[in-house]
Amino acid sequence: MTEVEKPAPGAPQPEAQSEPHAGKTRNKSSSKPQKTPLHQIYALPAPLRTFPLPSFYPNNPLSLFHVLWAWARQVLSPPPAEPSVIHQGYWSPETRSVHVRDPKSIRALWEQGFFGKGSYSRSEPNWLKREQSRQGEGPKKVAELVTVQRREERKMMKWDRARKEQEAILRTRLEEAWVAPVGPKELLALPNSSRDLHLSLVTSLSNGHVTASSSTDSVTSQPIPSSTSSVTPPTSIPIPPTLGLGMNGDVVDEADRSPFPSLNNGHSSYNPTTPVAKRFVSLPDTIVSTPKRRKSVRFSPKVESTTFQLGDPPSPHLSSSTNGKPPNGDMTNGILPLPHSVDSISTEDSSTASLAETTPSVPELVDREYLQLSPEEAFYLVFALGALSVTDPATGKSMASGELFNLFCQMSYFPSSTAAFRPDDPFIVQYAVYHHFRSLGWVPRPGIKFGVDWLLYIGGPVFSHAEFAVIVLPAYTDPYWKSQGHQPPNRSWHWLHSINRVQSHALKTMVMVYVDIPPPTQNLDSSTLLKRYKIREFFMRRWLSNRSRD
Amino acid sequence: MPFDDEDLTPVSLDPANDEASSDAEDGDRAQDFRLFTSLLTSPGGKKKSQASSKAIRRGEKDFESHGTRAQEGVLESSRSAMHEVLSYTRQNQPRNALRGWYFPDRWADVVSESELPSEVATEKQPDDRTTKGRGSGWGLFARERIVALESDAGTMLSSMGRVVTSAEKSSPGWLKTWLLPEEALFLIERGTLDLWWPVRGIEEIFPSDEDLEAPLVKSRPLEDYELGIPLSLQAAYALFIGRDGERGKISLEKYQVYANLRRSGYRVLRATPLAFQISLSRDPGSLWQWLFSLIKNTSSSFTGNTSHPDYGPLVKPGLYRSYVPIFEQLALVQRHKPNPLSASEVPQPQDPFKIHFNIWKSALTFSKTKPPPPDFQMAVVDARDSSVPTLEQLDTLLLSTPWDPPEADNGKPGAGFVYKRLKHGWRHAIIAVVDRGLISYMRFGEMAFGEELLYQSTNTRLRPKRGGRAGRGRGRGRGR
Repeated sequence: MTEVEKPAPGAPQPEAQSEPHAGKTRNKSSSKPQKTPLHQIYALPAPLRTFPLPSFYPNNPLSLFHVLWAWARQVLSPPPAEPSVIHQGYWSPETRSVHVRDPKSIRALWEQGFFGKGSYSRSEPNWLKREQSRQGEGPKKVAELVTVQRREERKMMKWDRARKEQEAILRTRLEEAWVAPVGPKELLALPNSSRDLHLSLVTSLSNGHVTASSSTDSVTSQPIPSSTSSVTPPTSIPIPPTLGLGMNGDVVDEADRSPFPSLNNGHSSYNPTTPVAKRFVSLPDTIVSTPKRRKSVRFSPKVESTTFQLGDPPSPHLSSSTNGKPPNGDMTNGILPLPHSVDSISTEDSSTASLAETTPSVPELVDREYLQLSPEEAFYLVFALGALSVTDPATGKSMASGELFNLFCQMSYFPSSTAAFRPDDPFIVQYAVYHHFRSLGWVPRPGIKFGVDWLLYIGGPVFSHAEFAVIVLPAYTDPYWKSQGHQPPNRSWHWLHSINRVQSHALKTMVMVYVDIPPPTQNLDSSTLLKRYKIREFFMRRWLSNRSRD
Repeated sequence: MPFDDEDLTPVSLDPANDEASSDAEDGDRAQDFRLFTSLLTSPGGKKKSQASSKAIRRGEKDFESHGTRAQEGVLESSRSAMHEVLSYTRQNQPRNALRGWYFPDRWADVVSESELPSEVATEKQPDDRTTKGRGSGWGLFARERIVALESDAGTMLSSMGRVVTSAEKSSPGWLKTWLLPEEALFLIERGTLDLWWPVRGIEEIFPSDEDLEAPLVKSRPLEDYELGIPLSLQAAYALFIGRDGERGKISLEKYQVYANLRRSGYRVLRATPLAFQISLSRDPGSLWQWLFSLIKNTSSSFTGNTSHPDYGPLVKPGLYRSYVPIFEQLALVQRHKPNPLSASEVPQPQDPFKIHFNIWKSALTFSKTKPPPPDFQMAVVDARDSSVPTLEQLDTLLLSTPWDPPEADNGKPGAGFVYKRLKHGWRHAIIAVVDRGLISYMRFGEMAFGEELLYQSTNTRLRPKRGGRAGRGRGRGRGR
């Protein structure tokens, strides 16, 4: 399947490799899809192909023949007029979207312009791939898993940082706990020779180790020596009350005051590092082979706190291991059971999975995912590019562009209105913005998750983050609306600030797009109608007085 | 691979996104009082500030006590630094003290600048001293000036107060520095100015030179309390704060914005209806650009006029050699093309969406009579009384600000350049949204996505910068 993915050698611009590419490259499943660079998979900005002539190099006369040959071939056997492939979509009145069910069309619409969204996916329709990789059928890299892995790394990084802070705190605490031996008792207890000193150091060290390596839950029941009085030396362990006393006393004091594990955390600092480091190293392959970590995170029986509490065990994974339980033994304890080895995955994750989601356990997966196109996307594909035809499920016939336009305008109200077309129907306002940015080469995607109307990507979501977040506002500047006294809805400053706060936190620039609504007219066709709309853009961002002063 | 529905990632410390990240961070942080103490204690002073010895990084927080003496020590030193700062005795040097007299009606009969005929207003240059007409000094709101200072010494007056130059010679109050209400109130709040209510007329308080000669021989000069009485801060508020449009008063929101900006170190002057005359003369090379733009315009309008199929696909079926003709056929919705306007074309914005303050960054040299073009221009609105501006309000507000196009880098492709040009915009204004004393400054700019034809450069999108924002998840954690 993937042989067509390879670009023509020596083709500098990505358009040059488009010849047999577009029609059949979908569903590259197995062989070597990971080698293909993103800009080759997503080379086409629209589901239309172009046929550029090869470039002519004056210092290489042979390239002239190459040009001529390509030209002659296109003249003699012209490629089909674009759009050569017209994808089939089905209007779904229940979901108010257009569904595309053919896997080839799904891939084509996604790869050539990032249209739509997988019905079971967050954006790219890759449910089948995720499922396959979840069931271990071949190593596949799915973007969601990379995201999960990144989150995991971030969590580990945070945990590591918190651990270091705890260590630093403990170090200062130990430093402060040491008091000079000035009292008579302490002076008497001073070692008499260097040999004594050496012995006492050893014992105190071993004492610390005992505390550290003992299990977490048994600590409270552990015979903490002299938990109330820090003066009397512990009876069980014969340490001279010099350095050992100071340490011990302070430690016990801490244990009384604050929740215990912070102490243990600091003490056992060397124990946790090794599994952590190991995990870090082995993350990529564990991710690939054990794809169910995301699910187990999502459906974990316990809500995990994202901030590091002082009283928390050092790490959820570690808590399970310090509890002395095998990593795959206890489901309630291991919040995120760490797949160290293959057998642990197979045992525990299957149980989670069967609990969490109702995956058919049949070996063969059927791709049940379809592509959802929003009305704006579907109308753009039909009206602007002509690369889609939408079937009405009621009649079973393909809908014309004007028919579709009326349908979408009516459906932009809830409940759908059968009233006559108004020039400020939500659909036409949003579509004008969508068409505006599409026609300039941007990739607009719905931005509801950021509280805005559209997000603008410069090449598509696979290349970079969206830089602009678009909020659409209607404007009634025409004299007709003035005479009618029609005003746009008043938006409060609080509303604007809340949106802007989200955007600035997500490092996006907020763009207010005003759509100047033309006065109503009689029965215009879609293109004449759209020509009457006018788009104005304004950016908005906070101005910080203490940063702009110089 | 980033997703458009990725949940919020923490703010990165990437210097490339400095603008954005600084935007995201909050401007108002807790103050580190230790910085203050190091300011207050003079180097030769007997008090040696213990706190300034070890300054921790700003923004590092301890959320919980962990029982170490080091933490307690830091906390204690910070606390004592705060006490030290708060116990600092403010002293007003007698030589810096100013005394002002409240004369609300001295300049009431002067023609206000906004009422000047617009021809005069537009033709006049800032340094044009020859234009006669009372109160026609540039940016001199003579009608609004209500407090006369006895002396004009002091560093505070470098950007406030004006001498009403148009007054007749040796008329009372001539050659005195007159303050606007916000300036006077700010100085009173600062402790620099004593405001006095005059009991006698202005002729007796500011005797002209001849008068000064004559009464001296006749009688003793009048005592302070025979001339007037000092006013409290509350009285000053009552006198100076009013509704918009009242002569000699300023609305509370505007005063709050003014005082906030002044305390932050900016120079602020009231904006005049006379716009700063930014010369629109094009640089010599732009003739060619203009010619080329003509060619481009004709060509684009030619393609824009191609008849679009009514309902059918806009892209006509056929064989295409590149994507440019495809996208040109898609151009349908009207795009915005920013244009510089000559002064006569500039519409008059309506309150509250009009420029109220011109703002300059703190620079060493500043002339309040002939200020340079402002760094920022600001409108002040009330958060509860007004709503998000409509297109007309925002457009006229921005049209009244100077033309400031993005740097002409010949339309370099590449996402970074495209973002930079787009985010720079063509005109800018700041709207200060005041919600009962809390000020939020929002910067608005006119954008033109239509000037960036992304489809023309195929390599704009295809080289995602490695690192950069892709790795922003590695930044600091959230909530710190």
